[in-house]
Amino acid sequence: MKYIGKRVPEIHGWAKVTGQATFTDDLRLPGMLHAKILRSPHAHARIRGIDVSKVLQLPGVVTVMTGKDTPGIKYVAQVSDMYPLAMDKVRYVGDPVAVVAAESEEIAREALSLIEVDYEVLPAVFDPREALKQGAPQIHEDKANNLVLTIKRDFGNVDQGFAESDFVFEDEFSTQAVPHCNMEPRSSAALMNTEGVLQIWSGTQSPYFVRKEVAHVCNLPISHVQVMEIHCGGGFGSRSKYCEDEGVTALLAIRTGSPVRITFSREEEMTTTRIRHPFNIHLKTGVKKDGTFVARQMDLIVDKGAYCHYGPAVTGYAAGTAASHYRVPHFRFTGDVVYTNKQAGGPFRGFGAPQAIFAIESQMDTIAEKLGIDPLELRLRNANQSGDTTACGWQITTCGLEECLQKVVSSTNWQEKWKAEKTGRFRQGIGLATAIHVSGSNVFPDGEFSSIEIKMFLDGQVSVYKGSGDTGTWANTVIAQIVAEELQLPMEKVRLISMDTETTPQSLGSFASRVAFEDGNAARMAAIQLRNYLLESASARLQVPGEELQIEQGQIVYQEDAEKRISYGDAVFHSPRCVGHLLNSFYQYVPNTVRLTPQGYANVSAAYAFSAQAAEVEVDTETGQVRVLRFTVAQDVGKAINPIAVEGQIEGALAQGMGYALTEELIVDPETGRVVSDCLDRVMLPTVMDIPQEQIFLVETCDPEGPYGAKGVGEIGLNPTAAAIANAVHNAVGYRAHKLPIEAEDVYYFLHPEKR
Amino acid sequence: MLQPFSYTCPKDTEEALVLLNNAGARPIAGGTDLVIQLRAKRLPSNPLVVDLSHLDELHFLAETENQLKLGPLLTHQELADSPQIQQGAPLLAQACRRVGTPQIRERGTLGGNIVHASPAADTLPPLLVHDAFFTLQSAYGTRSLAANSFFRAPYQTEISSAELLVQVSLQKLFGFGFGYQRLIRRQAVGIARLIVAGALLLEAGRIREARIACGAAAPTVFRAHQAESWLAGKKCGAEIFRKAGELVSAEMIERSGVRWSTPYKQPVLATLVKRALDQAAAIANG
Amino acid sequence: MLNPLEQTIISLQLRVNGLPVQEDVPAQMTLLEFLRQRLRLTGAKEGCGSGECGACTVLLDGRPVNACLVLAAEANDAEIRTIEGEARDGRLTPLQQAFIEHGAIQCGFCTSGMVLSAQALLERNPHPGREEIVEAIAGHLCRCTGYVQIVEAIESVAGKGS
Repeated sequence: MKYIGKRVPEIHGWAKVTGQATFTDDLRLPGMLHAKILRSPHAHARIRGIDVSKVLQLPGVVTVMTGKDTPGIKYVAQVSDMYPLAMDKVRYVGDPVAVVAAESEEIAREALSLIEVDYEVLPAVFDPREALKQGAPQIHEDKANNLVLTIKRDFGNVDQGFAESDFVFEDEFSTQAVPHCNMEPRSSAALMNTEGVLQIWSGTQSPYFVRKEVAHVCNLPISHVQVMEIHCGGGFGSRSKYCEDEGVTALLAIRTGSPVRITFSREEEMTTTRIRHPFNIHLKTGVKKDGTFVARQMDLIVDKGAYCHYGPAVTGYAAGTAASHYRVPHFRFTGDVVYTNKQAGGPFRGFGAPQAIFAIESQMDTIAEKLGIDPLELRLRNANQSGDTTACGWQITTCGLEECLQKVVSSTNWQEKWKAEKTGRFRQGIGLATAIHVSGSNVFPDGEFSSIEIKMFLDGQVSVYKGSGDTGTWANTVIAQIVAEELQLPMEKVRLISMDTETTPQSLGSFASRVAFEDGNAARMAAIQLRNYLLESASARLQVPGEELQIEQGQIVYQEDAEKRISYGDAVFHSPRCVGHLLNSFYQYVPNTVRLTPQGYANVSAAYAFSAQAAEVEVDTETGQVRVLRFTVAQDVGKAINPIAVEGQIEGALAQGMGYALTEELIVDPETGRVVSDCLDRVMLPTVMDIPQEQIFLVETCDPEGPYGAKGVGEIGLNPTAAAIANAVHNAVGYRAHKLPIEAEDVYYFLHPEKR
Repeated sequence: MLQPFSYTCPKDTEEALVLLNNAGARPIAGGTDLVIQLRAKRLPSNPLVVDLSHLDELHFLAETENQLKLGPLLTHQELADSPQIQQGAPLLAQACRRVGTPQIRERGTLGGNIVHASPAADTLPPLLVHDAFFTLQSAYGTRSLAANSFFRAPYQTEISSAELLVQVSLQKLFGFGFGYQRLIRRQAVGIARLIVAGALLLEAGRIREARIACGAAAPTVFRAHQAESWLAGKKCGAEIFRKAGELVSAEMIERSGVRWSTPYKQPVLATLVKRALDQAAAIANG
Repeated sequence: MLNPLEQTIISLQLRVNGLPVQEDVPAQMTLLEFLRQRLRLTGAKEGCGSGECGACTVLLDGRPVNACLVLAAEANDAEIRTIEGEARDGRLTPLQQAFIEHGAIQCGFCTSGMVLSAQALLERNPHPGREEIVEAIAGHLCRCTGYVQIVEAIESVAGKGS
């Protein structure tokens, strides 16, 4: 193949490396206003009144808007519980209360100080276990004990499974809140055009969800909202569905009749966007003497924060992962999703899996130790295999887990390092962990679909229309590669238009590791169909059988006689399907999957990816500091459509996983609920100087359903990383991390218990 | 945008000092701290920002037999790259290489780092080890203050708003070996959790003089005098250095009291002191 | 003497990407705002506004600085280089080309600053080692790439030419 499997450069590379790529905050719309949001200083308070009378006296202010000035409609989300601007209550420090649009950002900011809000401060609760107790402050009127809902799964016979087990292991784990830290702070711009269509620019992963939510909260017909194409400075889930500022921007554009933009400060980005949910995890596993898993039970308390957003889906996906990661015949799960007076959680790369896998893979090493089985052997013994159906109904068509494990182990000299004696001030350790992940996931009532439209012009070049966003993952490049391959066109003749909801066909969005897989399948089928149209036209024109024609670099050539040929452009012109001098091809891909039921048993994805990772660390026993020295990763990617892109996804995921394991944490003041780590210096994502040596192997299992065999690669690289590091720390010094991040203090106190 | 302020760019130190006599006047050099304060709108309204960055007379590096004389406008990068500093004050060169990020080091100045007086400022422990003193000038005269008595509290110093730091003088330390240790959470950008700068002068295997300064450990940077005098006359060795570390930790607790992080920082500071002294002894032994 | 209540307007004269620029700006305008709003050079991005991310990095007299922490007034008489001035006549610099070829770009938000810091390093030292490369870009956060391909891109140029 000419383009598939090749290290094709990013198609937006030129624009990005020259500074020409336009992000939302780079836009200049004529007459654009700038808006700033007034946010609650209290974690929990009733709004008795808002006095905005002074604001309009400030020169340059155009409008001020509070919840009462809006249609008063909540976002749809999964549980509809949040207004674009607070109506009667605020539920976390940072909850949007009012917004001012002005001629400049400075004036808007200045104006916020003139708004007087009369708050009745209410008691607040920050710990989900406290929030569940009788008498805890109730955050939402309709949710007693702050319980949003409980996700339950029960497959097989878990009680019997534990009874039949030789050993039962029970452990508690907890994980922290982490903000995404996309480099681009959120920004959205909107205008109402003369047709009455609200146009909105927002670096989103899913224009589909943005249009749906914006139309809803603005009470506009969905046909009158258009999401525009714009570059996005990093997603990682933070822009995977919708962001609450988009609704506010849209409402302001309607109110003022002018273009309006809201750009978040870094502090707003860190303290008010949807973060990775903290989990409290109880994990119980029953095993046979030989290490075979019999039963697993996972019970979660999910710290939801103040609003639901996509918390149930994240919790449900943690359940799916826990039911499917390794072979477990009997499985039970409860996930209590609990409101607290804090910044709300949302989707974040891995979607609940990194938390679950941290627990499962940590306990795995504990089990191995107790049974005296090599941790590698224990994993191999329970590894998923091709043809398996997991406890929750995931049908694994191809599985490279065993190969990934072997690859990692053989290339790290794992056995020797694992068993090496650990002495001295600096001790090295190695740890293993694996992961499973979907390639798209059929869980939303919206459906599961991706569509691609291709237009070929008389000049033989194509425009490809793709509904999902590209947050920098090279999704657009991969789709362009597929079209280039099927039409045998050089990359520069394939133009990619994405995200614009008026011109691009429907796709759910860039999340759940689905774009290369689902949009990829749609692109491939649309391109094959277009190729067939060209061959059909050429066949008629050249008077030769279509099956004896070949396409190559813009020409359709008769194999028997190379003189007989026509250009793509001529084939377009002469095609009976040609309308308006172009040939059109459309394909909607709906994967052969089953929508997740409330019971949670369904084959939600058409292919499952696997990964094995080894982390090697060095622990300073005198300070407790952990340094990662080396990562070795083998990942079942199905087929690497673009190895540079795939490696880039894995390397990026490793850095995020390392931060998750060791440094990154959104810290909330337990007295006030205010976020303490409100800047990049305090959340401490890894810098280039923290990056260890990395070795990456791509295992190609060629899934029958994936385009060219490909599976999703975006998220899985992060799922096992924290667990691999935790296991390496245990191997080095014997400290078993039951919480993330692994802090130097905890390791130190373990090694020097008398100091605590 | 930043909070509103007036801005002026004096042509020499004399004019700068006249301007600084205005209430609310604030000097700016590299801007890496002041601009952040202006953005957060943390200064009293309408300050007069006095831009010193063009004053060449505050940008110098001179040497006498026993001293290094540094202009406050030297940037961290210049100090890190300077062969004279690398030779004469290697702790300072090393500390400057660790400040913030390359971009911050290009702009941030020695004077700014001193006057800002963050308890975790990287340059301060080395300055204390070198018994630095600061020359402060105002429209009314000049005075010198020892670095050791300059810092009052976090972000508070003895300098008055009308004064300008015009020179930093470092005592040269002949024959000393140096050691520098930091406790960090990540390799770059981060603020150190503990800093130790140490220097040892040895004579026939015994310690003739020890100097130990700590940053980020207490409300202000400090010299560990008790440990220093305890070390004097002792033979170098692991046990001695360990004990010295414990003394330094005790001094930290005297200054900062017991906090939630003390059970950890107490032994770890001792470890860092020991490591710094190990390094210093190895260098001093040549 | 200045009236401290009066907003100071500064007459700026500087060179940006080789061209002379003359503008009156308010004192409280940062260099980043000046470049983005007045000159419409939006390649430098505001990622944090406090010197923690490096996305706003430009070269001031050949040295990388955080444009968000520099007053526009302080750039008087200076020579500023932004990402827009790197490629000339539609031709990328070898470093820009290497960023594209090595996959050093994902979302692109950190790219402008990253390229400029690396370019400044290569101009100071055409053959930096890995450690120098890593140190030179340590003031740039990237959340997408994990940095590996960025370092490789710079190394590929550092190894070339004389």
